[in-house]
Amino acid sequence: MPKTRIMAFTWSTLKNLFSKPATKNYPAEPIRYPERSRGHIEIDIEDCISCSMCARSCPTGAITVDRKELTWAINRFDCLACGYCVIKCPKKCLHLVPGYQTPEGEKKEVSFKRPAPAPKPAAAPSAAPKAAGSASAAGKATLNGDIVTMANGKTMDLSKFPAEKKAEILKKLGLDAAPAPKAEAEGKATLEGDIVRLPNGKTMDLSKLPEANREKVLQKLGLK
Amino acid sequence: MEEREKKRSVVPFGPQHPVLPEPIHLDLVLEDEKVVDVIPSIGFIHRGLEDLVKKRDFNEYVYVAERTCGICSFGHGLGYVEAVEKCMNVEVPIRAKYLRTIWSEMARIHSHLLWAGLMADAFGFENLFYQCWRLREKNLDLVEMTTGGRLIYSVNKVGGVLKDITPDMQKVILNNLSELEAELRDVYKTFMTDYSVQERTRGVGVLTKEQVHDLGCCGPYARASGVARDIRQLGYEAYGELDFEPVVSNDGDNYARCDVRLREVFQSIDLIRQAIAKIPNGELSVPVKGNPDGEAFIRIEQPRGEAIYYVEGNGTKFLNRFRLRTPTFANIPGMCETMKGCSYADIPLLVVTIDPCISCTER
Ligand code: SF4
Ligand code: SF4
Repeated sequence: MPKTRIMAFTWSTLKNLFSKPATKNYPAEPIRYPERSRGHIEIDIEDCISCSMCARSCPTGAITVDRKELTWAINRFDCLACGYCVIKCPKKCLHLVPGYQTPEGEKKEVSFKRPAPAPKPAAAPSAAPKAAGSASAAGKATLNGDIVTMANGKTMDLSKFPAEKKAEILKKLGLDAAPAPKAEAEGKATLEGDIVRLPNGKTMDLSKLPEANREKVLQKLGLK
Repeated sequence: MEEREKKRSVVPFGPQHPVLPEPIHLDLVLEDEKVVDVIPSIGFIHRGLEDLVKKRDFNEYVYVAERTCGICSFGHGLGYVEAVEKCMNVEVPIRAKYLRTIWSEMARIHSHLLWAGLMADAFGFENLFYQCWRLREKNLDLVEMTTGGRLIYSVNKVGGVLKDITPDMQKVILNNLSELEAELRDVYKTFMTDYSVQERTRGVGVLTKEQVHDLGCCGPYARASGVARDIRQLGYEAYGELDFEPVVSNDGDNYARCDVRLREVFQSIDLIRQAIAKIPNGELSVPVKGNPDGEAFIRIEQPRGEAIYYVEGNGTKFLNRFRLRTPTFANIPGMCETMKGCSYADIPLLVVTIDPCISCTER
């Protein structure tokens, strides 16, 4: 049995008294976080494809993804900084970076809006994307080539179905009267920037043509 | 007899009490200053974490399991993934096993130093309390450097670990732990020899070896009563390849518990050194396919003692059941036993010596 002493801790006390303080003079002295510090989530919103994998995998449901509004929102006060969404994101556009959420009066979401995706080339007659835009705003199903996007965000590939079935589905979804076929029926070409869409569904990039030829093509197609 | 009964009074203790970091309620039956009976009750912070396993898929639940407790967070994550891995017959890479072992021991150092601080605070030695937590900070820095979190590690996943400890980090770890060890010697000496500390710890709350067996206590609490039982000796993760003996003391009083826990910090430092010296190169994790089906049962040694994990899968990504028996739950009967016959002023100290973690216990 060790012997009993009085003031056994005095030496350590004196040492602490005359040494540098163990605490930091925060905020005068900045805190340095280690590289791996799990502070908060950041997103490269341009790369996001609104797949909702992050929102579905988050243990606390801190993330909300809106496919139609193209937004990605996070409630930083609900986020545990566990990093599971970072692992799950297929585009690797989420990052867990140092720096903690500062205190605030109320819980609120921070929302990011991603730029609208570029129109898909050559997939559909020109009128279809336009129709798609207006329909989606009204919460309706939309048609893009052979792909139907439902109001709930699910997609269906019509090319898999036989022709009658396809027509039936389109009718059901109210897509059969889309203006797209009409434009085709009239046999007219349309112009989108420098891209000409021909009635047979093909496209032509006018910017590749010399100036003089361009005029000619446009006149021929009745677009000028 | 009639007259004697009348002199008894019942004093409620907790769930809010200055010495208690966490809520447990005790009804203390007193005769004057002497405690004659104790009736514990828990259930103040039940959060239903076990039930959440039905709503979060088994990979996602790792992060929930960890948050059962802020101190043994690594251990709970580890216990859960080990149970799921056993259920799915996944063999974890050796390097991942070593990394898990290192982090387990860091968690132990953290937990024991935190406890030593709380203990010093409970017997009124503020200076010692600050010193313990100052040392704990060094260890927390290491945890933050390697995992990114100070208390919640989030490095476990089913099939391995998510992060590596690079050779540079290993150097920092060894360096910081040497500093910590040097300063801890002073703290250990104070706990063991200081006059005022001994006044509060020696011979208080004695639990005999037989009582430990009868009441099913575990962990450092049991080892302080001479029961050499340490689940790490089963050799899970990399413990089978490291050299260590359970730390045991025979007195069974508060003093012995301080002794055991502080010596375990030295032991943990030693285990980390051994693990870093032996760690092989290799993969961090293996891909896991399919969903857990069947059941599995795992025991691991948490800083506070033996914890038991049980999972039952049903072939889908959601588990049927996850069960966790925490060491504190096993130690509460022992704690109540030690209180009988002691003076009222010793109660806070006796609660602290089991290193209670009520939020684990109630999950
Ligand atoms: S870090 Fe975790 S809690 Fe935070 S948003 Fe991602 S998944 Fe959710
Ligand atoms: S998982 Fe990635 S790509 Fe998908 S919605 Fe979330 S941030 Fe966007």
